[in-house]
Amino acid sequence: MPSNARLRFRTAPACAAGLGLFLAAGGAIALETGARQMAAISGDLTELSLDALLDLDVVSVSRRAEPLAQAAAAVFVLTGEEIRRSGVRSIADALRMVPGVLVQRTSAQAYTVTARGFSGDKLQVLLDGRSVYTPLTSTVFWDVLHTSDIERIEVIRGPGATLWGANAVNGVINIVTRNAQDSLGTEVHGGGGNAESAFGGLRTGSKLGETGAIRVFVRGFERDHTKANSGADATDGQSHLYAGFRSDLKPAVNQDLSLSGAIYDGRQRSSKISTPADPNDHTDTEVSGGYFLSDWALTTATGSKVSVQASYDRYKLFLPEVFDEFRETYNLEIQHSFALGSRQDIIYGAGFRSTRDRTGGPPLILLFDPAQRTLRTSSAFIQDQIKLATDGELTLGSKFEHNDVTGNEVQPSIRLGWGLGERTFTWGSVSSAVRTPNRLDEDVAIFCSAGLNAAGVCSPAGTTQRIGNADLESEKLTAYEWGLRWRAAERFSTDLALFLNDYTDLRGSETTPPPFGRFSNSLDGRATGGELALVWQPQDWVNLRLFHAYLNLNVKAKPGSTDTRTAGNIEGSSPRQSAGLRFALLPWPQVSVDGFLRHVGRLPALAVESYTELNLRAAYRPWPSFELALVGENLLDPHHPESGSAASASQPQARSGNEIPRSLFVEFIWNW
Amino acid sequence: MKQLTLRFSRSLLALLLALPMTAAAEEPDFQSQVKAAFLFNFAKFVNWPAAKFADALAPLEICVLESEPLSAVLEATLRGKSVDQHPLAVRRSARVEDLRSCHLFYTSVQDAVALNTSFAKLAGSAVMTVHESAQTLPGGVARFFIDGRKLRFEINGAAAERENLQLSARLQNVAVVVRQ
Repeated sequence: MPSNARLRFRTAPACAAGLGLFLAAGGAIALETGARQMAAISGDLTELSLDALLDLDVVSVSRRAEPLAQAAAAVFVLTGEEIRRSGVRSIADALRMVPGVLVQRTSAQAYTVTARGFSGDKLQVLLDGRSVYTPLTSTVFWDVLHTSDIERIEVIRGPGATLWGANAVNGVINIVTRNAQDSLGTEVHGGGGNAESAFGGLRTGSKLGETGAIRVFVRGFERDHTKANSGADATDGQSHLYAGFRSDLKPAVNQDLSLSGAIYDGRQRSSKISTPADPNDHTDTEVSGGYFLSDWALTTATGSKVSVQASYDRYKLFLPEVFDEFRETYNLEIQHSFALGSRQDIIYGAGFRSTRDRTGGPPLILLFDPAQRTLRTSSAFIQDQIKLATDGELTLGSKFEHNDVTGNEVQPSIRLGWGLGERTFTWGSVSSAVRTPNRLDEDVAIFCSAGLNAAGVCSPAGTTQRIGNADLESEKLTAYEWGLRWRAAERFSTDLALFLNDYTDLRGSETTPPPFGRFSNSLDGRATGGELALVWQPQDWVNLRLFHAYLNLNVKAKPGSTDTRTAGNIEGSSPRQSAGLRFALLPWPQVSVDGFLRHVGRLPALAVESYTELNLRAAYRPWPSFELALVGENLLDPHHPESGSAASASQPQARSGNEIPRSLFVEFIWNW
Repeated sequence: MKQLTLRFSRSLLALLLALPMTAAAEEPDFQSQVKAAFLFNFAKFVNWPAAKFADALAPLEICVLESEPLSAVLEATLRGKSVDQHPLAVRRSARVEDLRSCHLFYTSVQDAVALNTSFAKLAGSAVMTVHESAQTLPGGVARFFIDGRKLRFEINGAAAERENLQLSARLQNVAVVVRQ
């Protein structure tokens, strides 16, 4: 959650909760995977589709076998099987397993996901190449993303702006669902427990003509309230229903057409602003929407590839007493890749995006001025991958973008990858990326209702007080990265990435005009750190993964700025140290046991002490088609906070904010 | 930055010291792992005649010769997996004729004469034969080959028909289809 928005609302808890939900919420861009090798880095190759297998480089330039992943970026892949075996019920929870990614669950349904520090608004998140962060706040509705039928999640830490465009500042998360050909047949899953009250889903896949396939699915879940610091129930229980399809067709031998879409509807209980202390007098926050995505690709005899992706997305978000939004987004992307001579692979493309919203007015307290706005972005990019004499590969590229908010943005990058013998691969890069101001940054305002006035938050009642600043510039990043992958032994490999990120014009907030102040590019900053990941398979049936991430954030207000708080809030909202240990055991063919122990350092700005939590899942498969599992999450504490704030300056020990309860549930998966 | 570098070099050093000294062991090369993954996909996208399975839960057998270098990787890759309720099993034998009940037979033998002899011993028993010799063989249903830096495969449509194997469109779409 952007710290600026958080700091002023401590006297109005319900309002702050509403804002938190709103800011943690989220809501289209194509991708030609520049790192095809990513899938090979971790996990089980049988998880890959036929197309992905055919796309793997198995012979290096010197025609030797290629045991090492050769992507010149800090990439990490979670396979669908790893996600299933972890037992997590949300994509955001799965991302906790990625080194250097911080996941903070802030309520029953809301998460903040960050990489390499800062808040959750500097990531590009894609579902099958379609961007799913909302242009409103640049954050993501994580509850709208489900864990079923995922083929893999690719995570790039660090800027990916050259291929993925604005907002790919601190990282790119690309969620890839399975090809419909790989999900034939019927699958039913379901379960429930104390915190995950109930969940279930039905998917059925069938062939479509000679060469096509389709799957349709419906999924739903209900989540119980999180806890308050006292252990009492918070008021934020949630229910969600999601239905969709994906169809993969082959219109001709050299063409692929993928069509997919979904609709969803969710509700979350929240306390009323007018009666925040009364748990019986509550209201429901609603989020509903849908999307349609079409992806067409043509591969020519010479190996060059043209692809066109078009999508439409709409959603409606309603927080009674607080906020109302309707949004529609159209996106079109065209790409062409081809080999130039024997040493160069060129990919270039263009895209256009238009997003239109309509937000509610008084007496709602969270307003946008203007209330309706359409933002258009046109972009083009080009990238050249050049094979160097021996085992090196140089990648040069740049994105050129024009948007309605800040005009033209250029985001170049240079990457060099180098193989050092058969077991070692090193890479380095210098790249730049920008985060263009979103609707919140530019236009947000608070309506000083009678209630807020009475609570002493603002005055006089009945006025609208603007926080957004239409003159904001983009936040800019220049990133220097270096990495090393080393397969030390047959069953032991390491992956190290170090970075130095220089940020300028970070968004802070000036103290005038009172009481809320005004957003401004008041900060500069530097982040240094790194992630180390190890994979060790001591026995065929034992797989161990360990990671450690270190981050040092230094943010400073520019000379002359009145912003004395944001820098400290940013620095104190990301942990210096985080670590994780995962084990996956297959003691017998029918039994699997998986565990994940994680540690997150303290977050002083959020009044969160360092914590260690453990997830365990034990599964039994009496028949190949049926699996029964017992899952425990956050087992080490009855409830623990991952975000929040100190209750007041006079009582810094007492804290507000939701705490995540220990969770136990059973689940089954049955397919035929 | 200095402190950071120091911290990481320390953790890297600790890591090195903790390493089991097995670096000399032969590592399974990446190409073998990809081949094993392809064989898994073949098992998934080929329909065998019903008579090849004793019952709905009978194992799907992927077979290799006793001397096959891929067998270790294959066993590690397929362990615990199943296709349409049939658990995958890897079976090894020194004699090809013992493998007629298998569903899939893979060999890395390159000699065309030896391959023809092996395939003749399996003919008529609905075995999906997979090889990687330099040329298409009448008895081989699928053949791996290297195209540039990628591993590709060829399907011999005529051989598949002779063995009464139904290859799904998914497989044929991504294969080079020949008839011999």
